[in-house]
Amino acid sequence: MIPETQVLYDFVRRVRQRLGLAAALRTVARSSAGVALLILAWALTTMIVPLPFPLSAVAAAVAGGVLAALLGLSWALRPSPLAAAKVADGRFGLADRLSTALELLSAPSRGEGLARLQIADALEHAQGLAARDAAPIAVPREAWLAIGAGLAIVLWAHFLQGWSLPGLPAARTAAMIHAEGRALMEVGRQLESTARARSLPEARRVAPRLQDLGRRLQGPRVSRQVALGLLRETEREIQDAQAHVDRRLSGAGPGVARGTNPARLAPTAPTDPSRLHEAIRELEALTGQLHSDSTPQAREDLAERLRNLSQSLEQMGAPAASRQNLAAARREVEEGRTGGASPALGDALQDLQSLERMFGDEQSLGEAKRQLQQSADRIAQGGSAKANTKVTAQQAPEPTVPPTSPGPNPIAGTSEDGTPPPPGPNQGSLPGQGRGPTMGAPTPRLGGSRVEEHLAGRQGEGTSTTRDLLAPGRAGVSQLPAQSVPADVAHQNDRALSRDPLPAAYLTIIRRYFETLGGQR
Amino acid sequence: MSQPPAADLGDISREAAEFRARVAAIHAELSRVIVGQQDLLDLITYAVLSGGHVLLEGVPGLGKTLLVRTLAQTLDLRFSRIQFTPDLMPADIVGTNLVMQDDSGRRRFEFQPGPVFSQIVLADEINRATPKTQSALLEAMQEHAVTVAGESRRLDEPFFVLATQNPIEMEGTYPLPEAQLDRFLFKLRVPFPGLADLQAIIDRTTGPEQPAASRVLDGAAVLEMQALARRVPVATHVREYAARLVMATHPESEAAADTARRFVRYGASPRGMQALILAGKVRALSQGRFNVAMEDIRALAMPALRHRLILNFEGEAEGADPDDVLAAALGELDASAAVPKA
Repeated sequence: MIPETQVLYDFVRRVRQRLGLAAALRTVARSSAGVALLILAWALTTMIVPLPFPLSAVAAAVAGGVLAALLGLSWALRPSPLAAAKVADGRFGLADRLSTALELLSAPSRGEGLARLQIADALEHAQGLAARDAAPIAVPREAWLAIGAGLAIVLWAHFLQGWSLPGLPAARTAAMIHAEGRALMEVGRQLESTARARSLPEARRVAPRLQDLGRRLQGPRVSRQVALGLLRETEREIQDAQAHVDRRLSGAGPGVARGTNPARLAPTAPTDPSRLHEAIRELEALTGQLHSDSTPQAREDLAERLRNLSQSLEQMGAPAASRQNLAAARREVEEGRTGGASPALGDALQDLQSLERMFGDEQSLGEAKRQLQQSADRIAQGGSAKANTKVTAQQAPEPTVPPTSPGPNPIAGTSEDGTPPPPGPNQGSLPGQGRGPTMGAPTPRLGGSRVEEHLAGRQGEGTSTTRDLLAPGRAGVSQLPAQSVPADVAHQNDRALSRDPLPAAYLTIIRRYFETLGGQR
Repeated sequence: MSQPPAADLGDISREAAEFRARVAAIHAELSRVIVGQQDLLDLITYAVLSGGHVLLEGVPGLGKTLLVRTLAQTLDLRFSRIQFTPDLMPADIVGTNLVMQDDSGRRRFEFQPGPVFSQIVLADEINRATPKTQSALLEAMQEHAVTVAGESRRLDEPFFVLATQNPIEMEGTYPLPEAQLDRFLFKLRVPFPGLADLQAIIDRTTGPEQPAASRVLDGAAVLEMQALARRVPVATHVREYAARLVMATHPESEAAADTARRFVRYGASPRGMQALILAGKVRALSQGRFNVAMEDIRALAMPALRHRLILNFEGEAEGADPDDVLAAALGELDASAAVPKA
C-alpha cells in the first residue's frame, strides 16, 4: 500500500528533477552558445591562418560534452526538496502549503492537530498536480544562439571550408599544397614511365596513386590537415609495397638480405644496380654468341667468359639458382653441347632480370616515399618563403638506371628542360607589394628640403605694461531687513501650507524662524 | 515519515471550520453597519483575534468610532470610550482612589476604576492628550493590567485598545511616542470611501431605521479563537522571511533595503515580527488554510510595520511614506529570496 504522503514526496521529487534539468539546460545552452561561437571563430580563422580544424572530432567532442554536462548538471543543479516545493507552491498559488507540509512531515510535531490538518490539506491540494506544470522545461534562448552558430559551422564546412583569403598565411599554405600536388603529379608521371620502361610491377601500381594524390592536392579546398592525411595514407601504401618487394628480395637468394636497401650495399654486391645491369648485358651477349659461333676456340672463349661471369656473380652474391644455371651452361659448353647450354643460360638470364626489376621497384618506391616525406615536411612548415623556394626548386627523382628504351609515354619536361616552374607567391607582384623575405626598393618620396620654423627671440623680451586698479570698499550688511509680506503672497503661502501638510516639528521650526525675524525688526 | 494524516482530524477540523465561520460572521455583522472598507474590517478582525491593539488613522467622519462601537457590539464585549484631550489626566483613564464615607461615617480610600477597565477601549483622538496621559495606557496595553497607588489590577480578558488619530490637524497634538506606537499590533489607515460607498452611507444613515449589529460571539469565544490561531504551524522559510523583512527596515543592518538605508532612522522592532506572524496565523485560518504563507506576511507588512518605522531627517524632508519604504523592502526581499524558476 502506498502511503498518502508518498504522493507529496513523489510530486516534489519529479519537480526537483525537472527543475534540475531546466537549470542544466539553461547552463548547457549558455555554455554551448559560447563554445559554438568560439568554434565558429576558430573555423573562420582557418581562412586566415592555416590552423588545424578537425571538424568531426570537434563535433564529437562537443556533442559528448553537451550530453555529459546535461546529465551531470541535471543531477548537480537539482534544488532541495523544500525549494522545489516552494516553486510548486508559487506556480500553483498554493500559499506555501506544500513546502510547509514537507517541513512538518520531517518534524517531530507533525502529529499535532493543526499540523496534521495542514499536511492533509497539502496532500489534498497535491492530488492531480502535474510536475510538468510546476516546472515546465522550455528551450532557453541561448540554445537558439548555439543552434544558429552550429548551423553556421555546418554551412561554413559545406561551402567555405578550405577556402582562404588571398594574401594571408592560409592562402600561402594553400598555394604550397597546390605546388606540392603539381610536383607529386609530375613524380607520379615519371614513376609510371619508368615503371613501364623497366617493367617494374610495384612502381607501376603505385604511380597512378601518386598522380591521384597530386590531383587531389591541387583541389580548391584542401586544408593542411587533409593534405597531410592524404600524404600519410599514400606513404603507408608505398611502405606496404616496399615491404612486399623486400619479401621477394629476401626470397630471391642468400646474397640479398630482407629489407635491404640496394643503394646502401657494397659496390661488389649483386645489389649494385650498375654491376647487375652489366652482368645481364653480358649474359645477353653470351646467349647470342652461343648460337652464332660453334668453333672450339669460340667455345673455349665462351666457357672462359661464362666462368668469369659466374665468378663475378658469386662475388656479387647473386642468387644461387642463377649461378647454378650458369655453371651448368658452362659445363655444357665445355663438353661441346652448346645447344644444351641455351636453356640454362635463359633461366639464369630470367633470374637476373627479375632481380633487376625488384631492385628497380625498391629504388623507385624509395624515391617516391622520399618525395612524399619532403612534400609533407614542406606543407607542415606552412607557406613560408623558404618553403616556397624549395617547392619551386624541387626536382622529380631521377632513376639511377636509365631505361633501355623509351616508354609509350614521353617524359614530361621539368625545370631543367626549360619548362617554367610553377608560379610562386611573389611572382608578378609589383615593387613594395611582394610577400617574400627580401624587401623591395623603397618608395620614392617627393623632392624638397625640410624647413624648421620657429619664432626668434628670448622669453620675456619686449615691452610689458601693468596697471593697478584701486577703489574704496563699502561697509554694511549684505542682506535686506525683513519687510512686511504682501497680502497676496501671504495668501498663497497659506494655501500652499494647507495643501501640503508639514510635520509638526517643521511647523515649530518655521514658526521659530519667523519669530526670530520679527525680533530682529 | 509517512502516516495517514487525515485520520482522527474530526475535532480540530471542526474547530478550524468554526473559526472560519465565526470570522465570516463577524465580518458580515460589521458590514451591516460599516459601508465598504472591506480590507479595514478584515484587518481589524485579524487584530482582535490576534489579541492586539489597533491604531486607526483617518480624517474625521469616516466611521472610526462607529466601527469600534460596532465591533464591541458584535463581540459582546464591554465598551468604553475615552475622548483624549490636552487636559486629560492619567487618573481619568486608569481610575483613582477616592475618599469615601460609609454609613458609619468612617472615611476610607476606595478605588474608582477608570474607563480602561473595560474590554474594548476606544481611545478617540489619542494624540490630543499629553504624553504623560498617553503613557497611562502603556501598561494596560502590554500587561493588560494597571497599577494605581502601588497596587496592580488586572483587566478583564479579552482586552483591546482601539485608538484613533487625525492625520491632518496636527496643531496642538502630541505625536505618540515610539514605545506607545510599538504596542499597537496594527496601524490602519481609514481610506475615504468611494462614490458608491458614499451613496450607500446616505441610504443607511438617513433612513428611518439605523442598522445595528447583533452579537455573534462573546469574550470566551474570542479567547478560544485566539488560542486556536496560535497553534497554526509556520514553516521555517516563512519565519525567516518575516525576520528578514524586519531586518530590511533597519538601516544599520547588512540586509537593509536601500530605501530603508536612506530614509529610516530606526527600523521595526521584534514586536513587529511577532505581529506579522500572529496576524498571519489568524489570516491563514480565516482563509481556510492551516499554515502561514509568505503572502500573509506580504499582506500584513504595511499595517503591522508602518508605525514602527521612524524616518530620519531626509525621510521627513522628502515626504517619504513608511509604506513606500516597506514596499521597496518587500520588493528587494522577494528579488533576493527568489526560488529557482523553472
